[in-house]
Amino acid sequence: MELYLRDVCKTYKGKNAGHDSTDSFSMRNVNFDLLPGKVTLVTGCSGSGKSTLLSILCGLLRPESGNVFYGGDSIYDRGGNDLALLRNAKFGIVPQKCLLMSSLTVRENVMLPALYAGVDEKKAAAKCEELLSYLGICSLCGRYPRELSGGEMRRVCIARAMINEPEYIFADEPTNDLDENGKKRVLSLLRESAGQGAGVLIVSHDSYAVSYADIKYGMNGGRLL
Amino acid sequence: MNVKLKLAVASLKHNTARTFYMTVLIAVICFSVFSGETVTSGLCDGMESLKKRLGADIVVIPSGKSRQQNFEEILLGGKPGFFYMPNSVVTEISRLDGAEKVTAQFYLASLTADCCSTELQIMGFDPESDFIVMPWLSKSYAKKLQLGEVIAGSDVFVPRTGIIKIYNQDMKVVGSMDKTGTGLDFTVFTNTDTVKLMLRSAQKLGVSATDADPDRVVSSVMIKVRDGFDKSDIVDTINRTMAGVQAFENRDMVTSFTSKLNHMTLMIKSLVGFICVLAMIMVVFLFSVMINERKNEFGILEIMGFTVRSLLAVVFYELVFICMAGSLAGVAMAAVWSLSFKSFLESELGVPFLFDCSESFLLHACVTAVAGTILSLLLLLPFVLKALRTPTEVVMRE
Amino acid sequence: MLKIKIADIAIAAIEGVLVAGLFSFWSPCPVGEHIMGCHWVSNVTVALSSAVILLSLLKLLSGEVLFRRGINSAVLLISLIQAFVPGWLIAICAHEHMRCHVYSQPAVVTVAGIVALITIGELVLDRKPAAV
Repeated sequence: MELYLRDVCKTYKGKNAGHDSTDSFSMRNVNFDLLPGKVTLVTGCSGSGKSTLLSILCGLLRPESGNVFYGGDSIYDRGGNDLALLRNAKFGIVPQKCLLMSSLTVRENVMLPALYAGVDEKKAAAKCEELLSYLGICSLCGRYPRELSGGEMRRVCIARAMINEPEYIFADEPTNDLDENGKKRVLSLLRESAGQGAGVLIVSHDSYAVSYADIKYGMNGGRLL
Repeated sequence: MNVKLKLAVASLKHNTARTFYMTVLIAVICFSVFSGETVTSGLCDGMESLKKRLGADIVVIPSGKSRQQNFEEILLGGKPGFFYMPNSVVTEISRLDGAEKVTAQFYLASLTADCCSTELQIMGFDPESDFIVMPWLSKSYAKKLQLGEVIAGSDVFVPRTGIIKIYNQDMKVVGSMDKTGTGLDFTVFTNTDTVKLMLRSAQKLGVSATDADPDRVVSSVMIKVRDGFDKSDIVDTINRTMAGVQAFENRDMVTSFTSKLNHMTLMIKSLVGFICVLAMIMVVFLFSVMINERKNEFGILEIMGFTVRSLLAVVFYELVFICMAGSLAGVAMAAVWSLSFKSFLESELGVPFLFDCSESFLLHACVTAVAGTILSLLLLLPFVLKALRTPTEVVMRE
Repeated sequence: MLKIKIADIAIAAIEGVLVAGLFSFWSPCPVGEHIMGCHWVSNVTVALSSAVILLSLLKLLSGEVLFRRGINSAVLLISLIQAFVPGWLIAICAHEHMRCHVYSQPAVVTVAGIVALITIGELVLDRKPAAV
């Protein structure tokens, strides 16, 4: 199903706005379609509104005007629970700061969205193993997040986002903290997912990602270029 | 296992210090509430039991301030004592207009026995005229007490043979009393003839503290006042007209104990309140710090697609475990503490104290544990709800 | 680690106070013609307290987590047994107003309870190895 946003505006006030107290536009009348089977890359400098676009698109940040449509219906018109379940079943999100549940092991962290969605534990474990192997961190599956490096944590976050084989993947700076080999593995995995029909949105300022993208956008002052 | 429950258990196990401190604080609250309640209810029950057992409106004993103190000690502290006055007093009092029922009692203290017992108070009553002891004694032994038969108070040590030797006389224990929380628990009840037999035996053995003729003395006279007569008038008449005796209303004694009891109850309640408020402030502080630290965790779960209800369920399971463990531990510790301090409280408080490990005590413990769990949950849930309102964008943008 | 050491010293001190108390202010009933149950309770309690004191002091010597955990488990077990010695495991005098009921039993239960609580705390919180 298609995912797109229309005439979306979002402003941040006060402290978030910068040094002056006037409203600052993070997004101005943005229209955007995230196409299934394609890797879409949005680049731009810090504060240009890339992460805001991603958050709005995946249903985590309600816009002030405009709307986000999934399969023709506005996702923000759904109830909170429906939206959360949509995120669980159809979306895979890699946040900019890789946060993991500190009380769970790597394997448990990755499997959590699948188990919550009601996937059989064995099936989830097999998928988890496959993803961790692909990302080269299979040996870490029994470790806790405090024992991981930044790059390892990021790869775990990516595996977690992909465990439910989502229709859309939203990755905010997925190559941060990664070495070249790591970047290659992560971007190949995203590319492969797109090949299998998933719509992938990468928000990054890393030029390395450009070669993996089908569609490229730039963002400046809250506008898509 | 349910994913939410699994997450809650993992979080509890991972954050052992947090779990431990929260559990201990909730245990402290439940411990103070339950032990405080046990002590105050023991005091109230003891007072009720004393009121029920007193029965008479007026008590007449030999004059002298120490005599009244002795009487109170016999009745409340289980400290054996005796005093005597001529038995002619009984006839004189019977002649008074307002005296509906009059009965005499005879007190005697046994010597310290050698093993596992202390001195005993012996209380003799006249089965013909008694209206004080018989009504509640009949629950333990319905037949008429024969010479040499006694009924033991609940805390009197009775050997397996059922025979207590007092002043070389074998006394057959035919029944035991229910607990009263007063000195009567350490008293042996029998008829006047048996007490006189014991006193004679003591005098014969040369160990008696008195040489009074048992047939000519009594220890106290209990009076039930006829309806329509003023008790204080009768007390005045006795104190004015009869030499060597003093009369007082039982009500006065009860009133003095009630005020002492109220004072104690207030002190205990204030102390419990203070501890609870302090512990609650600490629990709330600790929990709000902890929940703020976990906002990121909630954000991650929301990103994964957990509904707010599921997040609430995770924290709710954790809280249920902490509150339940804390309440159960607190109440169990309070129960063990109360049971082991029972004798200390009974003998040191100086007022009637009735406490026993009965079914109602256990039921009370269960109710307190459940109430403790529910109330601590209600205390902490608002903080969870507040934390869950934090928008996920904060986590996304960090 | 300092907190743990303070807790160990506190346990030894509390048990020391109990032992001293059992020979003075909360001593059981005096031994007369017959030796009563409370006398044996007192002896057993003193023996258990001495064991706890020794174990707590021994614990101060090592920074090894597993060593401390093992000793803590032993101390916890001993203190729980100690709490149930008077009146439960060994009968004390029948008369509820005798010294053993009024003073000795509550003192033993209170001290054993406090020691058990501190030890549970140590078992839960003491997880990191530390230098001696």
